[in-house]
Amino acid sequence: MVQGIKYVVIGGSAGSFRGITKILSQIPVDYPLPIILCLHRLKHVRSGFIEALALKSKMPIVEPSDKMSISRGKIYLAPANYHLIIELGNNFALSTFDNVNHSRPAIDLTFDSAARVFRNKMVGIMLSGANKDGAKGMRSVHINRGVTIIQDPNECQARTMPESANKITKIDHIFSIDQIINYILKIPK
Amino acid sequence: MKTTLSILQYRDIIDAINVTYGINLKQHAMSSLRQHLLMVMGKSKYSNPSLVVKGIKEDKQFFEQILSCLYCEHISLFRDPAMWRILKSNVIDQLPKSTQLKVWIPEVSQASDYYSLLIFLKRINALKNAKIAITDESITNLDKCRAGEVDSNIINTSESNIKRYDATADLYNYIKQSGRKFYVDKSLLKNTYIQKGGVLDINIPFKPNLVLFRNKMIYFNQVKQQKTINQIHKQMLGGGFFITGVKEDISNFEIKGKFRIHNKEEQIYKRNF
Repeated sequence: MVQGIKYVVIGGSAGSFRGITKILSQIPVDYPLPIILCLHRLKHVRSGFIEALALKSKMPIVEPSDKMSISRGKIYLAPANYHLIIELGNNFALSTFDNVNHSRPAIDLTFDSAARVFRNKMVGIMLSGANKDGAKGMRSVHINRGVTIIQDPNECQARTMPESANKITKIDHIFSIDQIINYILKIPK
Repeated sequence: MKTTLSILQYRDIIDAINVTYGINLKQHAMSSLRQHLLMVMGKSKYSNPSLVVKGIKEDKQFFEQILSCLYCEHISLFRDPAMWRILKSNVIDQLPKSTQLKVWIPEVSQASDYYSLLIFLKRINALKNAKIAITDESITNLDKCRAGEVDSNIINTSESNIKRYDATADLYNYIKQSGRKFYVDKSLLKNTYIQKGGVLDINIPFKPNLVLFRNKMIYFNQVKQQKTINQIHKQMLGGGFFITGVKEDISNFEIKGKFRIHNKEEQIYKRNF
């Protein structure tokens, strides 16, 4: 199930910080794939979050500017108060359209656009969260033949997000954070 | 039923807009414009893609709906409060004392930056002597600006933002409620020059020394982004300031000889003399 995957896209909200920092701390500095993070965050706080993640990460983390190309071996974090969209041509686009699921960035938009562009070359991973954002995006990942993974709801601080995804689409794997880490590390091999 | 739009249908719509109204949206970023069209279609009687082209050609109101929120819908006033503080200390205060402030806001859209600017200038006693031009393709947007109408959905966030910009500021000193609607104080709206037209096709009657164009270029493709940078350079006074959105980094474009970075964090550029 890991063969051919070139992009890792992760969504999360309430309760996902511990999980995401654990994942980032285990990924080696020379990990070759791009990892795209869409995490709910405070709209008006532009600094602090990326620095907090960077403390745990060996790979460089960047907040993409509009139309920035997606490069291998980097972690990209959706900027505060912008939707992060993947464009044909392998670059990012930002948008200030309305909140989706009360969120900007909205995980649904990142997953859906990634699914349309990356198709079966991506894995979408949904972590802990307290609303339904990302569920439709995960369905789009599945429809476009990408791999879908949710964090085991029993392990989540807030289980609504992974459970919502599980309700409306076929989830390939329900994993603990440790299993998610193992999966991500196996992809390039 | 979920509204959908294939790439071919999308192209037919863009062609119909160009042929019928002479407005070229071919250089808008496709993913955002497609998403926007789907949203407008979903709220209209033209939810079926095969009817949209007909709607565009025959129903001007429907077309205005598409045009009026091309860039954004609910963007609060004083978005990125830090930028407004920097605007005072690093831009306005750096202009020579004798210089009249001349501001241009192209694609004024839902007017968030326009209303924020009016309040900002009023608070620093610079509104009376400033010249302001706002332009947009949409008549609906320009009419709303003339009336000073503020989207009621953005009031709460705007109230928080203005406090983050300046803890002593009170939004309701500048914005009044009338029924269900909110309006900017009429006295702030005086002396604004309003003209219909897109950023690439317009000449305003003065050369601005400040251009606010935040979070608009994200809706253009890279070809139109470069054209826009060139056009704004052409329209501006030497030594003036050009401000884009905090994630609209234009330093990778051909700006050598045109602009240099004045404040990287807030994406403020200074036009060369």
